[in-house]
Amino acid sequence: MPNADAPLLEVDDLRIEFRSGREIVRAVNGASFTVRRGETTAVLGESGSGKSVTAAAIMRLLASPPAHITGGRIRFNGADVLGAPMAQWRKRCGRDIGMVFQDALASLNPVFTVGWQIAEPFKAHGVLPAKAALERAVALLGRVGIPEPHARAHDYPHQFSGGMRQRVMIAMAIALDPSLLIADEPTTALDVTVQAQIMDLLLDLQRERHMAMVLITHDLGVVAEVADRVAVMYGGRVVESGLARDVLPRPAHPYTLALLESVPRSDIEQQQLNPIVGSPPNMATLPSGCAFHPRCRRATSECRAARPPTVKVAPGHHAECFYAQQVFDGR
Amino acid sequence: MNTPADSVSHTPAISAQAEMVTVRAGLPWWRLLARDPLALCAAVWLAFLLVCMLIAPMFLGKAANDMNLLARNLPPWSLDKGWLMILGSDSLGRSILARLLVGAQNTLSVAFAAVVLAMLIGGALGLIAGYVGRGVGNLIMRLSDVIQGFPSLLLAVIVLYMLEPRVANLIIVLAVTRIPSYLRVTRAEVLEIRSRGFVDAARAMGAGRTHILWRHIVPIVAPTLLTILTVDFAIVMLSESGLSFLGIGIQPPEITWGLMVAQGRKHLSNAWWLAFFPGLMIMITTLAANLLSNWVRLITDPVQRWRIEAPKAAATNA
Repeated sequence: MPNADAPLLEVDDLRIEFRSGREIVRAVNGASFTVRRGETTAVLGESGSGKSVTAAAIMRLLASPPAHITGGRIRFNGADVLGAPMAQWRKRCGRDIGMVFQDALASLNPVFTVGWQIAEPFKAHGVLPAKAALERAVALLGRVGIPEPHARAHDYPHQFSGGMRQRVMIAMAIALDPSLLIADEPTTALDVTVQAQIMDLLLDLQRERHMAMVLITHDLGVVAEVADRVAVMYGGRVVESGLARDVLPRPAHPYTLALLESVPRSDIEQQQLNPIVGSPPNMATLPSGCAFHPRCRRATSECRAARPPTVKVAPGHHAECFYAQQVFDGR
Repeated sequence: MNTPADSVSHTPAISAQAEMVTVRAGLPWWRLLARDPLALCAAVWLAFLLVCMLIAPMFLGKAANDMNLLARNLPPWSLDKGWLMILGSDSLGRSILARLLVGAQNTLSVAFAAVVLAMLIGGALGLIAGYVGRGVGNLIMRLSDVIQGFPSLLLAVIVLYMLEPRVANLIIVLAVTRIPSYLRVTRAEVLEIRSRGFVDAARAMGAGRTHILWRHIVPIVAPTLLTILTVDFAIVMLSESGLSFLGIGIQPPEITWGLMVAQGRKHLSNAWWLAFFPGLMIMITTLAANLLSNWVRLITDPVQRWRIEAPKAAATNA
């Protein structure tokens, strides 16, 4: 058993390409971050920044072709993930790592009752016989806040509301008490009020089960409230990482700064929004040097020419920018 | 962000859910069947045929083959020669009614065996083609192309000419010619389903390939195959009659509806009932199979099931 301080999940310089015909889309270009036991790491980024692909790679859900993992490594509990035989890895999925997907309706099988589906992990792993598994499923349904779990266990996914479905997904993901939960934009498809309830539920479960969580999101508000650590992704790279309480008040990467500035605020009078100019990069034709330079206020010729180094601006707080120190110091 | 406890915040939703539960609370299938008159008629007809298959040859076997040359081509709707002649008699004076009921056994068992065999083989190959590798999939698809490219009647003629036209051979030949449709549909569905979210979710939950195939893919493909099966049922009955007509299918004195149509063809101008009644039987049976399969598909689909259950729910709400 590795010691408690060792990271539970390490993603190191992960590179993923999608090849279709002659086109190569580099979705992830050297992403690195770590997740510790019992902690929440938020992976933050715009659409297409490679965050969901990274999550899928951790679970080894990417279909190859078209996806090819061209470099880097993922370690879970010290053991190599990508090199492990698939059959062996599947046995750990669900048991050690659970995953919650964005679209709960699509992620539930329409022809089975939710009770059956929550019981499925127990049966697939041969942990419990069918009847006992169903009882556990009912208990789990109750735990994730579904009223009348006994009756609802016999309902089908389409008979649930969006928030309820996401609760069902969460019940499935935590059924085998995994030590890591990957939540891929768990609240994106939901109403704002329901979003808050789902996040509360996830946090509750996390505390109760001492579970680590990778929270993939583009919602800065969520990150600010729940994350212990944050990894900001842009153009398939983690451009800034550190403790959320260090990074969010004092970012060191111009992208993180711009992202924070683009959030509408109600506490100060604002004439207009501050969006980040331009659009996210085309992953098939990434800009040279720093991928953010076309949209960056500080960009110089240096940024176009070479990829910036990783700068350590404070203990545990890294940013990939030539001017990280200046941004960090607010200059 | 901290909201009150979940149970509190969802109170309004609970009553709505209770309502849903009452709608869902599954009625037994026979009560649902009673609610759909068309499906009920279809089921009754098929049950009647099933009984005929089992007992008609015992009781009517002799009547079906007894010739009465004095009562040749007797027109229907006359009780002068006994109730067996109500649908008329054929060119050898045999009771059409008795022949229809006795013929149900051969006709339906051959057609049923052939389509089920085709569905099992085609479905299995389609699952493999869609779910295993591309190489195996291509090989299977080319094989199916070969079967489809070869005229099915010619294939049947060659096989049945070389082997003897026994019932088992007939079933195999008919099944082989029907395999490609199941194979293609299954493969296409599998390719679509395997990229659906719940398959990824199942993999993330730790399900292996066989688990996903049986628990997530097969249950979704099955209703489609069932629908094709009932449509194929008619096609196979007709091909079987075609083969009988060519003299390489089931041979007299055995009786099948297709054979009766073929034998009656010569007399169409003077005794239409010889070919009409067996043709009618084929049509009604096919229709019944279609209606019933449609109903089965509806009640086994949780998303569609309310369409049958709804009338009652509407009545209670009103």
